[in-house]
Amino acid sequence: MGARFDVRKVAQLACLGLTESEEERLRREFEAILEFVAKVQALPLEGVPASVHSVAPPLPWEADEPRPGLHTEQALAGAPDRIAEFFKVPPILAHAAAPRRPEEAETRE
Amino acid sequence: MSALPAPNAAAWAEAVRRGDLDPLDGVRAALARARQLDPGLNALLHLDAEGAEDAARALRERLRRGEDPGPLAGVPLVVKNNIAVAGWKLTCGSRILGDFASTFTATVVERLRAAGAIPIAASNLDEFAMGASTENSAFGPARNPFRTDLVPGGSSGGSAVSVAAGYAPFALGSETGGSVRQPASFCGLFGLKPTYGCLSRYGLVAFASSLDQIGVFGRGARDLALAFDAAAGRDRADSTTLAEPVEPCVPQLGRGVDGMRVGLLANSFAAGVEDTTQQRVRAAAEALRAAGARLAETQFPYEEAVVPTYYLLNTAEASSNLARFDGIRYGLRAEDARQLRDLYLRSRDAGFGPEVKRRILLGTFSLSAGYYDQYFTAALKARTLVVRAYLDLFRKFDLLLGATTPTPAFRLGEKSDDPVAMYLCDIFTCSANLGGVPAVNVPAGLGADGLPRGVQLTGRHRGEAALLRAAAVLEQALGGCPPLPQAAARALAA
Repeated sequence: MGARFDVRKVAQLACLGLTESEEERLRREFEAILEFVAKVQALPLEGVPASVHSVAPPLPWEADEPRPGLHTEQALAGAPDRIAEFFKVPPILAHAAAPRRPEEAETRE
Repeated sequence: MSALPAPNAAAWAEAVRRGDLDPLDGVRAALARARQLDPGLNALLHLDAEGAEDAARALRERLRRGEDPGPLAGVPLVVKNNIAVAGWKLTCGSRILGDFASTFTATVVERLRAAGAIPIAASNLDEFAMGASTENSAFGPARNPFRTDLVPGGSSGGSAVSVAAGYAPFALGSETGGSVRQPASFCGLFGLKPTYGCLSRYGLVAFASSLDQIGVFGRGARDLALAFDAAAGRDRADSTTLAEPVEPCVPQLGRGVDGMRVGLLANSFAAGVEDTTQQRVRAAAEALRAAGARLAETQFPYEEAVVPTYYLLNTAEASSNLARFDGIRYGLRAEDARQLRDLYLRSRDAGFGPEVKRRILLGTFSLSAGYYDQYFTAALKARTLVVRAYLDLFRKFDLLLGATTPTPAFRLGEKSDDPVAMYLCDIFTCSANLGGVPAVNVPAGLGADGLPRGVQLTGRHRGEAALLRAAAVLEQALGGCPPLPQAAARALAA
């Protein structure tokens, strides 16, 4: 079960900028890593249900009472940049916005 | 060289409770030792001398007023730096958190404090707990105190070194696939990974949430039991903590293993497991048999696929959990980004190290359209097989005994260029995380090479009491934590 690992495309999906040399190294490493993890597919998985957790105890209900939480100033204490009580960010859209790259639409829910 | 006033956490607390050890003297001895030895070991990222001395003075006051100072009275505690302590820098061994300091304290640390423990320092770790050697720290590798050209194991390597070198008698680590037990084995310590859900993860920075647990290093089974009893139990700040009350371990510690059924894992005697480790596992089996346990050889199935399953799951969850590090709300922000997406890409490239990037990429890949079923869903199904394998084994046995790691500590740099070789360090440990069951490393003396060996006991779900009873029996039989050889101690102090 071979898989094509397109490091540049996956890095885009992961919002990870990579340098050229990083890309080259990762491309080599992932050949071995994918061969290694593919061993999972050799297990007798037919008809086996997927487990999201090792144990799934019933989650207890909690009383719906107000409790102290983070104050705005605490939440903003680590912000690299802020305006008043907000996190400051650069523009989401460039002035001459490029069309969305098709691979960005492929992220699975 | 300054020595600590007590050999383990249990004895330390007893001395403080009896009035034989002043808590401030104790904390100062711990701080002095850490300051003296850490330049050569790089186990610590932050030392909180002022906070620790203040806490010791407060404890002294409580003693003076005749109050119960708690079962861990005055015992210095080192905390892995992916666990939040209010006011301390929380780095996770990464550049991406910058100067971020936590505004709150993890529940487990709060509970240990309430039991009298005194946090003194934050320890070095593989970045975001991803690694098996502590070489993936952005702040340089920690070194094994038994031989400083060797790794201490990881990812909780700094905590292990702190206890092995005697900065503190116990420490907190975190476990996703063996990150407490493996460094405990490499450094000659007791190291417990509790049942999934027994200890609150509130304040533990998430890596792979279906696997992560806070764990404890100590210098005896009683140290682990004291810490576990103080820290375990439901926490409304962590909805994954188990609702049922947790059975205390300390009262059962001396009950031995008479009549216990122990499965001896044949996996520990396979090719690739070094001879000395195999011999120590057999010696541990004999010791349990001599104490009245009934032993039978058995096998953990699917061994080939356990580590691949673990890597698919931990990376998928990590790729999601680490999406929060984006340069917006805290931590490192790339300069001069003109657009939001550019800011994300550049901040994350500058902030994350190579192993974290590797895992985010593998996780993103296995969750992406076209590969999801082939990799991620297959791994979720494989986890079901592991859970069933444990259920099956624990119908026949009360405990499992085997090796913790196939080899003792390896050289710095030895596996750095081979991610798959590094991943295979987890071969005997990560199955307990996949199965959610508790497991402990018990030191099994030094080999002829002067390096610690360890053996592993695994218990059934919420079976910490039985696990630590058996660990106490092995502590007696195998000699407990090996002391640092004189030559190593002198070299470190020089």
